[in-house]
Amino acid sequence: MKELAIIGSPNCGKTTIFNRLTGTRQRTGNWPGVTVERKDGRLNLADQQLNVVDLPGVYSLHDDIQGIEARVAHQYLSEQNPELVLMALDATRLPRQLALLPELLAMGKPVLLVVNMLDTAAAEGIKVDLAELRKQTGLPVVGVTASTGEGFDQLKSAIASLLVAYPALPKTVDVKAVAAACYVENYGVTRTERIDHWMLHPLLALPIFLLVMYMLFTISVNLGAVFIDFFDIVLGSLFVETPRWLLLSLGAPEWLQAFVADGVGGGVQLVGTFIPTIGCLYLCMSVLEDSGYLSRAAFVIDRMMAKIGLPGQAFIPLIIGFGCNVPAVMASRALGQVSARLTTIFIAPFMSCGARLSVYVFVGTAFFPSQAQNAIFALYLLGILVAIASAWILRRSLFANVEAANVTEMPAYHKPLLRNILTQTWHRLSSFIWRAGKRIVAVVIVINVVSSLGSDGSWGNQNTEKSALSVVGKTLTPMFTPMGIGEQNWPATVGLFTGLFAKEVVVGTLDTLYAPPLVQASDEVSLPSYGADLAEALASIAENAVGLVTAFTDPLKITATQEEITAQQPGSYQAMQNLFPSAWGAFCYLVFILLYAPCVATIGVMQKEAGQVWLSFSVVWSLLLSYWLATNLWHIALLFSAPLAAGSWIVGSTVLLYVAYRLIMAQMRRGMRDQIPVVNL
Amino acid sequence: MMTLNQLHIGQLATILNVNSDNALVRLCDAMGLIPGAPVTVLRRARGKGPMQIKSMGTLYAIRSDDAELIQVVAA
Repeated sequence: MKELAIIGSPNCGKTTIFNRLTGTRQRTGNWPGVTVERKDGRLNLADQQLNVVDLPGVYSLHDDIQGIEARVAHQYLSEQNPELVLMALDATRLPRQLALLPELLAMGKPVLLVVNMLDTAAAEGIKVDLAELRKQTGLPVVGVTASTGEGFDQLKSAIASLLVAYPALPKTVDVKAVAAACYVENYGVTRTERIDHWMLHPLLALPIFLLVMYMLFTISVNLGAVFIDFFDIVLGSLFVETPRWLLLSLGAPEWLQAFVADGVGGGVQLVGTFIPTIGCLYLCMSVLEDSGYLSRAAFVIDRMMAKIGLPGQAFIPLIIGFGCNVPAVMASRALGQVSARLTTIFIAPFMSCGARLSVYVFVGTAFFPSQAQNAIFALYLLGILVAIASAWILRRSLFANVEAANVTEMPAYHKPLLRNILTQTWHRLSSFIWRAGKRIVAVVIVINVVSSLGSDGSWGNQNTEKSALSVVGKTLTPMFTPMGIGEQNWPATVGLFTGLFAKEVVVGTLDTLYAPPLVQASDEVSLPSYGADLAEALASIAENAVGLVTAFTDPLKITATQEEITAQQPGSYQAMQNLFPSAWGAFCYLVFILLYAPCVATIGVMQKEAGQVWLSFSVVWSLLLSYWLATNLWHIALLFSAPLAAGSWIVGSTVLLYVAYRLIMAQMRRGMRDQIPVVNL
Repeated sequence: MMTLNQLHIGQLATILNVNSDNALVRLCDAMGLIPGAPVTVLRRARGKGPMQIKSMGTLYAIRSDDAELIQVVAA
């Protein structure tokens, strides 16, 4: 099949053209060896089918400027020999956009110039003369408006005829002269500048920015949350209960049940619960990106982010982190600079997510009910401070020599296009499901097998004292004595392990382990009734939608979570109150929960987005730092009763942390030169 | 000699040189902020905040630290 490539600079509407040409006949994959996304699609012409490749958006084919993206594009063009290269140009910025053309001609590629966004250019008062462009360059030119589909019939017939016979390629093109001849800038105030007058207004810019961020957070996190139970119930019924019943009826061994139903099925179920949140986030992100506001938001917050050495664009992943760390890590992909992207991925997990909130409320209500709000606020603040400190440290020690230039294009405003937004959301969502999902399922299998396996070799011991996980927890508990967790308090340690699944699982573990249910639930397993499960799943949507009203006044859902847990009156509170030495000890435990390690889903996307090395670095750093922080907070309280022991712990652990920090940094710095390109994948 | 961050709002100028040998030069090169290109400052945030500039119909955000390294000649 003949191949067609589309190339162009970022934000020139290249992908919209690609979507228009190929419709829904697309598939995504990766470029060989790197995780830059590759999109292929089918274009049906009258008498033939073509494969269309959407190349990464690049300003230049030199890889020293744009790194991997440019390398991918260059490599493709030089090795794959597409029949025709469509060069997408944003009409509003034509002179700049033409800069890539000489490089393409130098490679001897047959080029078709596709001038896009003619409607925006007209609205901005910019005049583009296509006939002149054709004359000056000697190349075929088609003008389109990809958002409405105008000009696509001409484009398709131009492609068809160029595939039959391509005119002689001009040797060189004087880009400056071409631009001067066919492009008349609007020297007055353009539409975009008029909108910017308000969006970047000295006084109003910040309120508008905050409003947009608030909407982004409420919609992506809270609207997404409405559908979580639906996915949880339906996928649980299909992938956990059904295989369990099947395996049991077939008389399969118990380990196989633990592996297939709890491991694989549970993993699929866990991945599924992230679909609504991530889908909603990407829907909102795509709207912001497509409309052109994203670069304005970055402009508004840039000064604040510059203080921690990050570009303004990094603010959005971080704010999303308060809802869920998984989309936060994924959203940092939009950052161009490698150092900024890695730093953002590194600090995003310190943003206290919604799942951790339920643990704070559960423990907080047991120990300091009147102070719960303040304690929760302190934890959120602590997370932010740790994030800022980590960013500062990374910048000083690891990225000190990385030159960062902060110049970005601000595209003209245009109306977001529904079909574009939906395709883009779908691509990103499916990339999460298939690529991050695999890793998440793998980790879930491991943890589930360990928690199901009993110390006596039996299976199905989740959340009991007998499970291998509880045994491991008990063995490791002495390690946590320095933060106030006593020998008898091993359920708290087990909670740390199950918390790796998803932080809210800690609540369930603590609840059952502190107050084991007297009667074991009956072991009868029957085929789930799909009708009833579906009805329940649908009912959960309606029920959660009602709660959405309060989400606007309480986006973090602090009050709602408190009410829910108080209403349950967990029976485990008494045992928990007896086992924790004091309310302060419980707070130290919460500090550890906040920081110790991201959940498996976050770990999965971190590995995908930043690579194994960076992930391990991040997890080791979180573990050390959280341990140091939690134990020191506990010892500060001991300073009065046992000043010598407490004082020496504080000094000793701080020295050790510093030594560990130097070692890690030395290790990372040594590998950084080779690592950065690898990690950047 | 003037630098980009010293321009008044609305003042037209021409880029003379990007005075650095790091990522900034390559980035400016790629984005078309090259010697000879016309440039106007549209707005600047307070203090060390970013500036919005316009060059040949394209809008850019640039930090004033970076703008300080770009030499311009006022028209």
